[in-house]
Amino acid sequence: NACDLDAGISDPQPSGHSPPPDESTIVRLIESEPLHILHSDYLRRCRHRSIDLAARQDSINWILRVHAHYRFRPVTAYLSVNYFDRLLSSHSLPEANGWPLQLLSVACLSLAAKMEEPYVPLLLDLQVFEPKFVFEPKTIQRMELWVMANLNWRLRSVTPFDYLEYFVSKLPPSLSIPSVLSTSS
Amino acid sequence: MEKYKLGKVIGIGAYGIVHRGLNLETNQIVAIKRFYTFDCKNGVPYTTIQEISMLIEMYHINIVKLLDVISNTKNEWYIIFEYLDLDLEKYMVTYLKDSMEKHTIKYIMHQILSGVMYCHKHRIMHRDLTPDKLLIDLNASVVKIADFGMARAFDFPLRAYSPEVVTTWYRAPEILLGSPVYTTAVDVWSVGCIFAKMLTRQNLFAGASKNEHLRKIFSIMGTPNERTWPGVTSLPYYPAGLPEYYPENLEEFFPDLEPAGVDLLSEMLCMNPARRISAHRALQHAYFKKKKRKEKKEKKMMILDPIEEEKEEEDDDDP
Repeated sequence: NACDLDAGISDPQPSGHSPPPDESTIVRLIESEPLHILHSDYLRRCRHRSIDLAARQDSINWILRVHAHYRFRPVTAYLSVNYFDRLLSSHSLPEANGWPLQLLSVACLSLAAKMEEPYVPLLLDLQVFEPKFVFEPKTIQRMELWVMANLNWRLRSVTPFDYLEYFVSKLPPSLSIPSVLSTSS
Repeated sequence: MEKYKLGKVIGIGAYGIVHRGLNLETNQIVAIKRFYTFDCKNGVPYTTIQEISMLIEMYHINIVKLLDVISNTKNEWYIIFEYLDLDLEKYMVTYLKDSMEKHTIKYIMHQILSGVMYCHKHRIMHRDLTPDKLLIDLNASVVKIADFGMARAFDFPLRAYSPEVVTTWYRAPEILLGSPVYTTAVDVWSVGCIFAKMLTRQNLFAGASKNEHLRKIFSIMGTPNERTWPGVTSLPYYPAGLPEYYPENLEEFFPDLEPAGVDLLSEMLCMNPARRISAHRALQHAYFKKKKRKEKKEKKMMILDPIEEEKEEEDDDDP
């Protein structure tokens, strides 16, 4: 069970050794950000309803519920939605009564979890909360591949979490509480 | 896959088979990693997802280059890498024959550490550095780190990772002792072991079992205690009843190595991961400093070094 496994690893030691996030790390992050953002006309397409905003919101709500159920890390939610929006901003999915969006949601959540989580549920177990459509693992796998290829294999998106440690290190010492970071990540 | 022609098998791994291959459009020789059909219950394995997404964003002369990823409707999967002649394991057997190879060893070490530093700066731990994961381009005298199947992205602060990684003899003591959290320092330990192996062509810490391996490490580097490594005695696999070994003098194991080299090796093999030298600092170590009057041969080698960040530092070092 996911929660038990999580409990076993909840005690991260502070690392006295990894390279501290310095200015050059931040420059690198900023430089690679454009590789992981949405097409510039995504918002416009949302406003003009060529993207079904309500359906998008439903999909994201479902992702967040599963995310909370398995107590995934916050960054996993961020990545799932990042993959989902990047995909929709470059591709139009067939409307077909909603299954393509549901399949995309499962694939994005699964990919994000595999990038970030020490424990990832089986693909069938990931499809909780009685979604309208439940997909065979084989189908999801094909979708995972399709999503990865269309994101140009760039799944290590730069997220706000990447900057946290750096900003915390800039706080006056009395404010920089390492535990703030460990609970948020 | 029409673009490529599969050649003979050059390696077999947990997730697939590596072939030599040919890009039919460019006539370039490539390495083609062909995946077994994935276990469908889990979809695409996380190791594959992580390896590809890491390699796709790494551009460094000392890291093997991913050229292409191909999947077809039959659910077959290929990753195309640049092809290199041989790995460091085979290179040591064939080319590092006698003590006149000192410069070559130093040059190889510098390249490995440059690649490792690049990974660490990009928040990637390799976690499985061994001589057979270091590939060598004989023509250009370049060493490249390959096989990121076990690599893991890390963030700050570091969290727990699966403990069973890194081929035993190159495994850092904190992994062997079952520390739930480890850092980029595990890679530096592995590079230290590779350094030792290049010098003597033998594994410094070879043990048939995990406990024997630990005992071997302790007997040379000294048994760690709360003073040298706070917290070590409460690690899950800290062995009870081992003798208290004192650290040996590494010089005696490597009589041909210059003093700066012995010092660097001892810093890389520091038991306490928090005090182990980082790849970045290792590259600034006296062992790599140019001597004022050096042979032309060495100079020529250094010119080949393409790492700009390093160049700056080395220029500074020059009198």
